[in-house]
Amino acid sequence: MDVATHRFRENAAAALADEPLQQALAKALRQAESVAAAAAAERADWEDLRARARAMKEEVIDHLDWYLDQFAAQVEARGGTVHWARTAAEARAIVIGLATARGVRLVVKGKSMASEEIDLNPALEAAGIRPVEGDLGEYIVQLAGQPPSHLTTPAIHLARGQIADLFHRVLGVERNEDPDYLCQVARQTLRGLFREAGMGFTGANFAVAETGTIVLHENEGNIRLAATLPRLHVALLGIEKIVPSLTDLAVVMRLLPRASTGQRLTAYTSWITGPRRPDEDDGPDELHVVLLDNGRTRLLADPVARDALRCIRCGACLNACPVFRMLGGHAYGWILPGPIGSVLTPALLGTDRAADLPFASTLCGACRDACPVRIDIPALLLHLRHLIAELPPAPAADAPGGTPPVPLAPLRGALERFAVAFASRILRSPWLFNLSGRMARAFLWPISRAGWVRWIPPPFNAWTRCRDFPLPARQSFRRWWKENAGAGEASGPDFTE
Amino acid sequence: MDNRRAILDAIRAALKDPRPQALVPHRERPRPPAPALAKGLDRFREVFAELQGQYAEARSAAEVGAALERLVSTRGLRRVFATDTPRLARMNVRETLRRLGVFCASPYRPDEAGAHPRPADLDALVTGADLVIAESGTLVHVAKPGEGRMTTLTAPLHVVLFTADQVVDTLEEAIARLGPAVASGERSCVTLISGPSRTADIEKQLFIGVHGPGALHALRVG
Repeated sequence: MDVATHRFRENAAAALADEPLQQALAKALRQAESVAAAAAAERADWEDLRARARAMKEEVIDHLDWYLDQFAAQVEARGGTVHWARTAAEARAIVIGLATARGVRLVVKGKSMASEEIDLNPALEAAGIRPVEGDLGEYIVQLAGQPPSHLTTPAIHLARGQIADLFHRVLGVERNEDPDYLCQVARQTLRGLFREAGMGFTGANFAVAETGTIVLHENEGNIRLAATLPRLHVALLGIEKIVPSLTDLAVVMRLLPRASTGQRLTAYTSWITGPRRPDEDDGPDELHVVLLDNGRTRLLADPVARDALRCIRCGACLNACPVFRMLGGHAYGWILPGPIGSVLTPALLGTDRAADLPFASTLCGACRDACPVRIDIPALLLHLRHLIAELPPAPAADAPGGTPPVPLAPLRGALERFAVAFASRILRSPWLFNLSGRMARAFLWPISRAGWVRWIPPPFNAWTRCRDFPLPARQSFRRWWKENAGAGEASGPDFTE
Repeated sequence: MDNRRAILDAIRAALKDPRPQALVPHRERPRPPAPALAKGLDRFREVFAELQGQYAEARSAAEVGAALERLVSTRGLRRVFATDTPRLARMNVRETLRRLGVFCASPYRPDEAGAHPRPADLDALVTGADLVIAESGTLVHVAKPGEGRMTTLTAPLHVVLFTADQVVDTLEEAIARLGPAVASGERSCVTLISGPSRTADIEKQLFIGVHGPGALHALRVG
């Protein structure tokens, strides 16, 4: 997909004005958070689980080289093959190379954020290979020619009527809004394709270093079909997916479904250790695991931001975020939206290409509370804001697409320092503060409408470029106090005693 | 191979300053056992019902036969495949299905007569479970000769036979029991099945039976 992270402001404004999107989001997100909260509440040891998961991920990150080596050795000992991709381009080349060497024309795909990250589908198509998404939500957005808008619910932005239109238009089936009907259409269409495909492609939720096992969570069954029917199974995973042992797996297996969909476990969890054994009935003859760096080691090199590598991609912070709840995923401009996306996107694409994202947060902390592995996302956003304010933009290493870096960043920093110094002078003087308040009121009242200021002329328009500003009261509190409360009493409350 | 070294070197460089922990991981982290929820079979029944699974009990091969017969007649099943693990064989599952005239050959391997129905033609499927996890209402299936990875996804109705001694309370206990088969590399796929195939991809509304079975029956025998 195109990287549109630099157009966040325009995209956000468009999302807010998009009535069907607002309806779909309101409907879909209303329950998501409470369901997850109820699932967490069932575990009296939820906080203990979070702490253990955090400690375990810390352990993995601190020894990532060691664990990756162990994982790769185990996969190979079980008859699998391990590939290492430093960049998205290398990962695409590895996957396409595997497919073309075996004459694969059709690839069935399990839902995989890593696949979106490396933008695999267009590359497959360019190589004459047809990719088909097996997950219902991914299948819907693929038919619509759109990127997914949520980590775990890719078609969250579409209402059933829009999906019915889409199936009618693209698949030529009768137009029917009944979701049961829509599910059956997808099932029937996809079943045949699973049998035909020469390659099954999946991501992985976790990778167990001790046993070389990849772990796949899903509810539909399509991922296991993709990992079973075609004779070649390729799994792409970020190098941060490692957990040390099966015992550690239990911790994250409890957290991920609860935080993500409020389930105790997903309907299916598959632990895959190597290709089919000679005496087994089915399964692929070949298993290839592709380990993807693509900016993760760069993130690792930042001792503060590396905390984000703990992320298990559950989407809980998205559902909790007041900004995401208003915008949906597409406005963020890349595959990782919401609070954690605002941390990971600049880290993976380069801060200069996503400089607005760390600012798309109220720092309210709802994401931190929701995060099952206790990533302090607001702290990371502040860290990135600091980096963006202080550092000249660095060129992104291997970023897909091509967007110009934000110019004038150093100048912006200087202006900001001046503005803060100016504000500090005003705030220190009651007289100046009073005066500026009066000026602002006199200035804002004429340009307001129905209690809101929607537009302020430059250079004071930073706020209203993408937000409305509530009109201040006609009278300041100090003035009101003087006129009303001040009459019968002393000239004001005495705070000094 | 160069890429492998490049990535591992990049990791080592990133972690070098300062390397936060010892070079070799500490294997002895404290792992407090997770407190168990309500125990055993009762908990399984409760959670399995929440997941929209159907639960039943049978004390003998005859009762298993009666339960299967009821299913076949109420649901109008015509083609049912049953795997041939020792537990199912003891319960005469295949004999019952043959007697009812609904047994069909394995869709995975041509049988003695060379028959090989397409999995899509099956109405139902009977298998065993390798373990049952009470706290999450989970049926564990290990791919093995005669019961492949695909087996449990094939038909719209999946009937699973298990015995009470296969029930463990927690995921941790299940992992302790399954770990050796995974670690030794004996089996390529373990699947934890918690309820029928489902999706909430359309307007976050729940729908059952997307790619896998829409009906899941657990039958405790013995």
